[in-house]
Amino acid sequence: MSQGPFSVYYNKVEGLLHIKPAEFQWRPKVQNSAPTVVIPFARLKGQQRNKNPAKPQLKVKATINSAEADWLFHFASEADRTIIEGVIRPYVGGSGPSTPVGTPTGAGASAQPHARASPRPQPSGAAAAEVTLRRATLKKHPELEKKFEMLVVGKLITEEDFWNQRKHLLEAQRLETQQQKGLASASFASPKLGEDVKINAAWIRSTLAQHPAVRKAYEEKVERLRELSRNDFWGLYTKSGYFFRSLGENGTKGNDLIDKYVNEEDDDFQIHPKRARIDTRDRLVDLDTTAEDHLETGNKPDITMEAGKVKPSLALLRRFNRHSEMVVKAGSQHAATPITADRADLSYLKQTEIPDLQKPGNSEVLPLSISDPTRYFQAQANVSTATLIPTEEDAASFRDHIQIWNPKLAEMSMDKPSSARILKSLNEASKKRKRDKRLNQEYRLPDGKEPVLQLHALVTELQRRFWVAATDASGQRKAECHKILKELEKHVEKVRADNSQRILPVRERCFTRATDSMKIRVTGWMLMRVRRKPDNATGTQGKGGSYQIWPDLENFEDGYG
Amino acid sequence: MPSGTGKTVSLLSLIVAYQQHYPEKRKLIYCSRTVPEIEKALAELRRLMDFRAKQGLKEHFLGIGLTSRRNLCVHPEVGKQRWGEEVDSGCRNLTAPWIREAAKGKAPGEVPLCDFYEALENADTTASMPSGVYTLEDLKAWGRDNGYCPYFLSRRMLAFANVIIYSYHYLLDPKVAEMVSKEMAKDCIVVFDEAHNIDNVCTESLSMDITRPILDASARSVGELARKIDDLKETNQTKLQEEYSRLVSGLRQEQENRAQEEYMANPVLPDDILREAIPGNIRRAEHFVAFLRRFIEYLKTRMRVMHVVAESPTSFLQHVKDLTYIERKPLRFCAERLSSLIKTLELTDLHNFSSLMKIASFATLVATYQKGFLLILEPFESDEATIPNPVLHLTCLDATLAIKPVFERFSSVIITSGTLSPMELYPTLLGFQPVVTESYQMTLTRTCFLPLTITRGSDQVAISSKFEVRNDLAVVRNFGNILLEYAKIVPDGLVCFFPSYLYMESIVASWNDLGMLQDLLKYKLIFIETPDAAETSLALENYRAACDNGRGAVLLSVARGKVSEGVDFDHNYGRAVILFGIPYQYTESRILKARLEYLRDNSKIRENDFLTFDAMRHGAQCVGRVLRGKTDYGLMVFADKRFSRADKRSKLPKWIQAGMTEACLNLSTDMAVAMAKKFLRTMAQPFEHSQLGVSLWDENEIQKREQQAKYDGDRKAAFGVEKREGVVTNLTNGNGPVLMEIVG
Repeated sequence: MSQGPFSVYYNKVEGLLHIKPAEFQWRPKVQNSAPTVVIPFARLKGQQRNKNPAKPQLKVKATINSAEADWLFHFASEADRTIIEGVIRPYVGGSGPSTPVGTPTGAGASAQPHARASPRPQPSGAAAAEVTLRRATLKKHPELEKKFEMLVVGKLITEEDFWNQRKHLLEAQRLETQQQKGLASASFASPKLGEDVKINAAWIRSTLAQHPAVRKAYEEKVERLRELSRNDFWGLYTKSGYFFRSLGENGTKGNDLIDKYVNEEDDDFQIHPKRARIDTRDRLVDLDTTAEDHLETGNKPDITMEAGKVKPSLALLRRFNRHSEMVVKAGSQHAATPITADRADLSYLKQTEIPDLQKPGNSEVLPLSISDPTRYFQAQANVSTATLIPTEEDAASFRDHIQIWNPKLAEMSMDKPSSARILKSLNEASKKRKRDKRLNQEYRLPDGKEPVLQLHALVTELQRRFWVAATDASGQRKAECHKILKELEKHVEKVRADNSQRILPVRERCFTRATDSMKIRVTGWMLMRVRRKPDNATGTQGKGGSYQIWPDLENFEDGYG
Repeated sequence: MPSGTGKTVSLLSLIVAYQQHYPEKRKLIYCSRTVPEIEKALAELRRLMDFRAKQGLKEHFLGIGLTSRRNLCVHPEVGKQRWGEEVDSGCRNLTAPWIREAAKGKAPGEVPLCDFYEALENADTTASMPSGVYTLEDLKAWGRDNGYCPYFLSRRMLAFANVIIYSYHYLLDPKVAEMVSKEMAKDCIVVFDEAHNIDNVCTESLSMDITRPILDASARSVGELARKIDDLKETNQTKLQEEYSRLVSGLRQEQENRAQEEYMANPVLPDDILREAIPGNIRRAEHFVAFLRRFIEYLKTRMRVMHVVAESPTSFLQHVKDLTYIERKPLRFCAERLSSLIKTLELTDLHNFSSLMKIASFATLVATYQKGFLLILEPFESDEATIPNPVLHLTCLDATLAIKPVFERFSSVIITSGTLSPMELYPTLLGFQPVVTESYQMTLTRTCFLPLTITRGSDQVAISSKFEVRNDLAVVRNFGNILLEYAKIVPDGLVCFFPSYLYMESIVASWNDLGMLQDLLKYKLIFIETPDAAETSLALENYRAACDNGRGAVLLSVARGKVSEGVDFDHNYGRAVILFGIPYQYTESRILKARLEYLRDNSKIRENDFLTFDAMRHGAQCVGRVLRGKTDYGLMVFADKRFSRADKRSKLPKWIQAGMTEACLNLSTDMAVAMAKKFLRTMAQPFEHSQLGVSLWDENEIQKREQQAKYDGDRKAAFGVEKREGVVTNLTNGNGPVLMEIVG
């Protein structure tokens, strides 16, 4: 991805702009000069360009050391600027032209999915999307961002390696960004008598969804014939007889803008509007089939059970249904497809399945498979194989022992002081455990922990990388190993130098406040490992020898405790 | 017991196992309530048969469902009609025998016919339908692929099927039963599933209303008939003469084929049909038309009365005789005579004659039954109305009438439902002696539902849907607050039921005026049941979409409405059900009053007991919708102070009662919300699905249990305790109905 250099002026100084994998640098055009401006892509916040193509300029905004700053670059040519812009663009979020508000008609036609305005032209499809994703992930996890800065920006490991370990985060982020945001459901337009109507996009959308006749009128008058402008239409609508009637005010005269579009099909006051015929996708909710299964019998229901008796309500119920339908369908991409016989069968099967009666399936948990269990337990117990596996001789001697064993239970007794001692020690142990537990709960790292924890995170990451590289059978990653080693050593040096100034005091404070603080312990042994392991590892690497992975706590106690 | 716990499949598997074991292979007639339930039962049956096949059984088995033409028609044009009547009429216009006769001599295409029906008619005797279980959807697909009409195919295959699944009406409604279920053998096993409301279906199948528009339309139809008769007299006098002589000789027209049977069936039950010749004064077509005209005029005069009249059929007939000299006997033959005339005149557009048929059915019914029926004339819709809109109700008060032929004809009848409590009431209501009454328990691994009774709002005002207070602003507001609070805490779907359409419509309007629905929209979308079934289906579908995509929605519907029966709100489709008020029937209804009186006098059931029983069975149906299966969970909120009373609670199914603790019987809104929050949080934790040993037994468990049962049985035998007989053994030797409730 390295590009350039481009000839660019910054602060009226001629210089060169280099694009590196994770950042871009500007250095003055003087021999062997160091870059004076380094902006990591991850820190970019925005960019602006001027309009005059003769003097192409680009202002880049970024947050460095948690403060926002900007840099104005003067380009020699328009083409250069376009390239740089293209490079920066994917990293800059939220500063594009604002997404235009969907036109009311689109919203009304609820079957049409709302195509989201595509973000902005991407330099190269998948890669650019990946970059955006990574950037968003970093933004979401500040601690990860710090790590990223140290490891990737600090060029200790490549960006790919960094992300390979964190695919799950990217996946989570991807799912989150893919989640579509629908319309707000509370946008139900329900004007009241005597209240002023506030017309906005949501109101229009809801009105068009609620009143099919208004939609018909709107489509014809505004969209097809263009007789009225949008504003005129809505102005007239709020003075129409239809509008007043929908508010429940009968007999009021208003204009007849909508009236001729109201017909039998969508007369909300009818019990069975003609339009109401659906081919349901799910036959199990199709109430029509039952209603029409046999000819009507019986007396008509009493007046309370006769639907549609409260006439104004009927229209209201339908308006709610249509509004809700509009909101539901606005987000869905799936066109309504009638269910076929096979799919109907599937849905019946699904509906008649009794989950309780499923045989308990295989658990998703995989059993731990250890190829050589003796070695595993040996490593755990730190006991040699020879002593663990009983031989025939052992068995024979045990047999002999048992045979000649003559227990004299009557003579066996425990003297009082020793039993009291045991009891006391047990009591103390349990008290100590309780106390320690309480202390641990209350324990907080003292101030000044930041650098320790950061260092810890960095070293852990480096170590992990190191062991991945060191155990690579092909041996091709030797160079990488050495690089990481060098880096680690550098940090160890730093730790040593820091020990007296920063880390030791922190550690001291920790230990005075908590004798058994696991966190500090871990930090401590990490530092130990940093010091000890690499020599060991480089020595044995390639011979296929095993490494002691677990910390040597005894040494730790010796050295630091 | 909630749905999805395996009621249907348990019944089916037991009965099918029994059926297939014995050489008689008794047919199973399985009746359910709604079309989706029929479909589901068919799907379960197919699953069962697949399992049996997998276990190595090679069975020749046919399982089919039947529903109306409207749901089965595959004709490209007729099938598109929305209303059942239109489809029926369209179908008849293509399949009536005289139309097919007329088409024979003409060039193909000149007289439109239905290809699917023709293919079925012309199919040779070897044509067969592969054995298997066909859901209605499969039947349509198979019919379409093979060019046969699924509706007539299904009706034809009823005789050969091992299992038939259709709705109650095909057995209980005499008009339909006559055509469809006449030829069912005596040894059929009949199951009424979801039968908690069967008494109402029975009374409804014999009741009808006559209104002014019906009378006007039938008067027009009579005129049309007279014109047709005149036409026929000129063109084909012999035909009328033939009909006359046939009627004279007392020969009932043999029903030539099934298609013809359907034109107009007798509305009375098979036992009550007279085996006599049609009386002389209505044998001639023109006489019959005049007779009808007179009767319609009489009804019109009756409808002019401006006060409420309630009278028995006997007094009505006496009045008819006094005024018009119409005797009872010709009235009884009215339906049959009209059917014969329609066939003679070769009418197809029966759609236009439906009103007249109704009048004829009314005449036959009123002249056949004296007991258990009542005529009520209501000149006004309600007490406040000033414009007359008279309705003459002929109402059947006795549920035993319609179901009696079923009990008499079939040797094994099983009545079952998940909410059949109290069970003692059903034998009285339906007039039978149960052979076995059994209530089965349900196993639960966790308390997956929480019934909460809210008796007052957060402001401590008692809430109730009692008529006197229901429109009180405080009550309306408190109901609204309950909905709002629950919308805030319940994930995904929330379903509300109101006691009546009237109340729902008015409370929605009030909530809208109070701005509460606007607030509600901030948390959930709102979908509301409307009078139109298709519109409501669409709302339901969108409701489910909103629950699926995480937006969440509220569905407002009515306890006795279309949604409350047959639509499940399982899992995310319903995490809570709120019952606003007790779904009592409208007690001012005259029909209800008459029925209550009849029940009190004849069955010794007190009015209040029946009303509460009826309200609670509907309430239980509503709240029961929230659960499907034991892994599901949901809240059941009873928002009415009367729910906390013991007499109401005791009429709820046992499995719901078991979940009701003292602590949740008398709650205010805020307390109930706090409890609901806690419940929802607990329930949302991951749940280990394995029910092994609880509701799922593996082979070891079964063997263990068998041994244990054997051991217990031996001990009981030793102590002289009788072994209890299972349902299946009863099927073999019992002769009579079995009442079965499956409760938790």
